[in-house]
Amino acid sequence: MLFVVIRNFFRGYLLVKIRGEFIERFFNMCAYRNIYIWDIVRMKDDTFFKMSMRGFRECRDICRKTHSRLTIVEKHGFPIWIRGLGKRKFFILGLCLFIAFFIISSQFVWAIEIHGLKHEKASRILEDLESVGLKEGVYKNKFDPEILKEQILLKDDKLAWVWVDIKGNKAIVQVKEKVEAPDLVPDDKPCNIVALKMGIVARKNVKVGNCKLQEGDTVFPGDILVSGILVSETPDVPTHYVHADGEIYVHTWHEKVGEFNLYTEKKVYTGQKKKFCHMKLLGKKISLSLQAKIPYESYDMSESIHNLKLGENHYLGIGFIVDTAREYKIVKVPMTIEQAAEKAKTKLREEMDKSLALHNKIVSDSFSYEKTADTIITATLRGEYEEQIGVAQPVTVGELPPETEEKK
Amino acid sequence: MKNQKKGGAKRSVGEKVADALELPKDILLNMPKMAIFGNKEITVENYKGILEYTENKVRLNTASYVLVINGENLSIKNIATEIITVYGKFSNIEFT
Repeated sequence: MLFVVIRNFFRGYLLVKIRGEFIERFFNMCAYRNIYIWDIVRMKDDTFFKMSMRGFRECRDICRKTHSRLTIVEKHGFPIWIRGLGKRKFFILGLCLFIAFFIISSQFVWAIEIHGLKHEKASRILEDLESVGLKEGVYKNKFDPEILKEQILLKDDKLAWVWVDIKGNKAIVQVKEKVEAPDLVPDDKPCNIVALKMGIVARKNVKVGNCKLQEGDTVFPGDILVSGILVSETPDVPTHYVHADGEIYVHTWHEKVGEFNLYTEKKVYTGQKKKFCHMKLLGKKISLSLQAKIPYESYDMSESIHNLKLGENHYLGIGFIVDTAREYKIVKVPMTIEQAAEKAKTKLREEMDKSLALHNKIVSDSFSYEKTADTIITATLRGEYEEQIGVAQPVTVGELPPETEEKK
Repeated sequence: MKNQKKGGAKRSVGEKVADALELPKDILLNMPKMAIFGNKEITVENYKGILEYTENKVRLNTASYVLVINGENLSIKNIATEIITVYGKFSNIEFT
């Protein structure tokens, strides 16, 4: 039944009024000839029923035989709808244009998403992608993601892994950054331990190698702390090369000086803002604002992009960009000397931490400050630190310790 | 039932064969097969034609008798060579 109804809808059907003496005979003959008739309703003298358009053409001679008169009351169905549509030319034109636009725009990449970034900036990755041919508005079948991945990896040595996925009109780029390997000498290669900084030896913990340093000795950058070249005193035993291992702690002295203001600068938004609308059409940015000048002296720009899309990933290549310029004023908030000193101390401490070796300990330090100008204090942080300053430096087999070479 | 009470319901040979072989009677004996949904809808298979159709009465011809459906606002939902569905509010259905 449902199938018949659907079929008749697509072929078109008619609501027909029948008048005559022998309508029962008409129905019987139609049934006999396989002309499908449904929804027969009788209202006093008139009888209405529905039949397909083809059936209407086929039942002409039945009408003649049964002396009945058929009148079409209503027309229904898909062909009728299409015929009605034919009169609305601009609607059809619009529909065609829309479909064409939809099909064409779906062949391009309109959005690029980057996942997995930790230290690198997305803009840099985007530049890399652009240089290998992936950017907004590019024909999506033009490149092969597999080849693209390799090209990006060759281009950018900071990435360990790249995956490019094209979903709808969106390119999803997943990256994994490289973790830089520490500059280590492999365990089986001979090496010396060399000083990085100047200092006075405080304590030492030598596991492998030859260390002639005593507590209180001064070392300079580049000095060998623990030697991996073991020269035998008996002439028969050859020189031995080992992977020197050990920690040498030295005392170092550092000083950090900085000038600090007795106020903080604070950004206060005035509430004045100006919006500039742009339309993004097929990768091009078209300004919609007449006035492009920003009337503020100091302002922040923020950009918000609204892309037109269907569903999750089907971008249409149209979008709106709203740039908002917000005016702000710098306000100086005064501070007491103590507050400024506290701030200076944390700041200097941070700086100090950066310049110290990874393994360090504060032996003693002092912080002092003085007011040098109306709104400026000069703060000093100086102290004594214990640092582990040894780093491995490879040694080639056959090399002799510097002292022995001098002796020769 | 009626015939049985009167004593000795005579069954035709065809009926006997159909019973013995458990064959569908509507095919073998050309009998109409009806499905009635309450007093609203009746589907008759194996009918031979419409004899009369008005708002209150539908008369259908079958191989063995005439089926008369009386009621109000009767309409024919669909009609084909062997099957017809009548819809409406039935008051009685007669076999004459």
